[in-house]
Amino acid sequence: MSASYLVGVGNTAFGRKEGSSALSLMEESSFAAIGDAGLEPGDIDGLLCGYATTMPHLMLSDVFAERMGLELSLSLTLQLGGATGAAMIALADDLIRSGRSRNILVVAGENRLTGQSRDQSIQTLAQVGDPVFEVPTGASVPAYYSLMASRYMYETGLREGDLAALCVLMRNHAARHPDAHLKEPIALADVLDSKPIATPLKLLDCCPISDGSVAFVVSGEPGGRGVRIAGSGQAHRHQHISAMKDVRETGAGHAAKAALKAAGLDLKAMDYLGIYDSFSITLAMLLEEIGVAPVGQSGAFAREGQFAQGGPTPVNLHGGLLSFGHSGVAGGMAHVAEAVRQLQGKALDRQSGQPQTALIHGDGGVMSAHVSLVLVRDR
Amino acid sequence: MAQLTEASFSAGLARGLLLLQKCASCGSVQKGVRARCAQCGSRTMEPYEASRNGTVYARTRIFRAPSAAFRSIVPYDLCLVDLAEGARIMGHCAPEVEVGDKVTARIATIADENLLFFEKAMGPGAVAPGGEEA
Ligand SMILES: [Zn+2]
Repeated sequence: MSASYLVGVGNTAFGRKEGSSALSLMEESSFAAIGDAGLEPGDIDGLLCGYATTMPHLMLSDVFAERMGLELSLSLTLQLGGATGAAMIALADDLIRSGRSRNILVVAGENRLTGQSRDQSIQTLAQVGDPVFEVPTGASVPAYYSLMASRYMYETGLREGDLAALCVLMRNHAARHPDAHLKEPIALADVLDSKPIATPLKLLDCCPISDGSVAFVVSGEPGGRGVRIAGSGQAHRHQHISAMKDVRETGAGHAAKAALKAAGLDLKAMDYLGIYDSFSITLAMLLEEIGVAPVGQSGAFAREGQFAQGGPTPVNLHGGLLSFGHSGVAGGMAHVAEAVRQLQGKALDRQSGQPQTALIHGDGGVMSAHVSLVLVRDR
Repeated sequence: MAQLTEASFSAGLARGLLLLQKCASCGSVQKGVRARCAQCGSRTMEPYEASRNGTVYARTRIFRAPSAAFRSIVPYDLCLVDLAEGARIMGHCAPEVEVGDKVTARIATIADENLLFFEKAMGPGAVAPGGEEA
C-alpha cells in the first residue's frame, strides 16, 4: 500500500459513566468506529490497543479481541503515556503501508473516573516520576508540570493570565460538543480564582479525570471519506523532568518537523491543529515549541481568536483534555477524532471552514514522549 | 567502590550523604542512575558525594498532595536545583526560595522520607558535604 487512511472514527461520551469498565467503553467506541468505516468486525485483521490504568492486564489487546470476537493476525498493546494514541496511529500507518495488515482497529478507553478513587488515580499517575529521585519528595503529575511551568514562565515571560486564556478557549470549544465532560462556560477570573493545586497551576489549569473511549479504523483503502495519514514524527529525549535538558526544546518541535517533512508540507499549510493539553502549560509550551505561536505568545494568540472556530488555525475544537476530558490514552485520541471529523466536514456545530490538513501532537510523561501526525483530506 | 544504585542513593540520604554517579572518563555528574554517561557515553561510573550547593531551576508550592503522609504537611515547596557539579535534582525548599536563587541543602526527614531541603545560601561558607545528620 502506498498510503493508509483513517476510515472510521468512534467515541463514547466522556465524563462520569457509572457501571462502565475499560472493556465496555472500548467496545462501544470500537463498534462505532467499525460502523463509521462501513466495515464489519470480521474485516478487522489487526488490533492496536492502548493501556488502561483501571485494567492493568498483561495482554489487554487479546482480552479485548476475545470479547469482540476478533480473529487477528496482529495484536499489540502500547504504553507511551499521553503520546500512546498518536504512536498507535503512526504504527498502524507503518503496518498498513508495509502490507502487514489490511484493516487495523486502534482503540483505547478506561473508566478512569469511576473505576478508582481520585487519590488512587493521582498516586498511579505520580509514578511517571523517578521512583527514587522524584516520587519520594511528595511530587505528583501536577507538581512535575508546575515545576516545568515555573521554569518556562521564568524564561519566557508567559503569565498565568495567558494560561487561563487557553483554558477558557478549551471550555468554549467543549460547549459545542455533546460528548464533552465539562461544558459549563468559564471566564478568565474563574480560572485565576480556582483553588491552587501546585503553583502556578490551579484547578482549572488541570484537565479533569474522565471515563471514556475513542477508536479508529486505519485501512489501506480510502473508502469514501478516508483521511490520509500523510506523515508522522517522534522525539524521545528524557523520561523524568530532572533529566529534561531544555524547557524550550523538549522534542515537540523536532517531532512536528519530522512529521511535516514526511508529509512534504509546511507548518503554515496546516489548517487545523490537535495539540495535547493535559494542563494549560502543556498546550502553551507545545504551541510555542512547534512554532504555531512565538515564544510566550500562545495566550495572546488565543485572546486574539487565532485558535477559535473560524480563526486561521483552530485548536482542539472538541475542547481538548482540559474540557472534553481525560480518560487516559483515549483523551489524546479525541484530538485525532475531532481532526478527522473537521477534515471530513462532519463536525456539525463545531465545523470550522473546510480544512484539508491537520497537525496532531501527543505528549507523554513530562514532555517526555512526543508523537506528531500530519493528516490530509485529499479532494 | 561499587556502582551507585537506586538503593545506595536512598541509603546515602539516610546516612546524611548526597551520593550521585560521576563519570570516570569526563567527570560529569549524572542526573540519576545511568548506564552510560549522558555527556560522553562512557560506562565507567564512580560514586560521588555531591556538594548540595546549587541554583534553583524551577519551584512550585504543592497544595494537593499525592499521599496521606504529604497531605498532612500541605502546603509544601518543591524545587529542581542545578547542583554546582551540573546534575539537576529534586528536593523540598524553604517558602522564600525563588527560581534563580543560590541555595544549599541539608538532609531532612519530611513525611517520613529522607529528603533534600534547600535554603537560600548564606554566602561563600555554605554547608559542607556530610556536615549534617538526617
Ligand atoms: Zn562522561
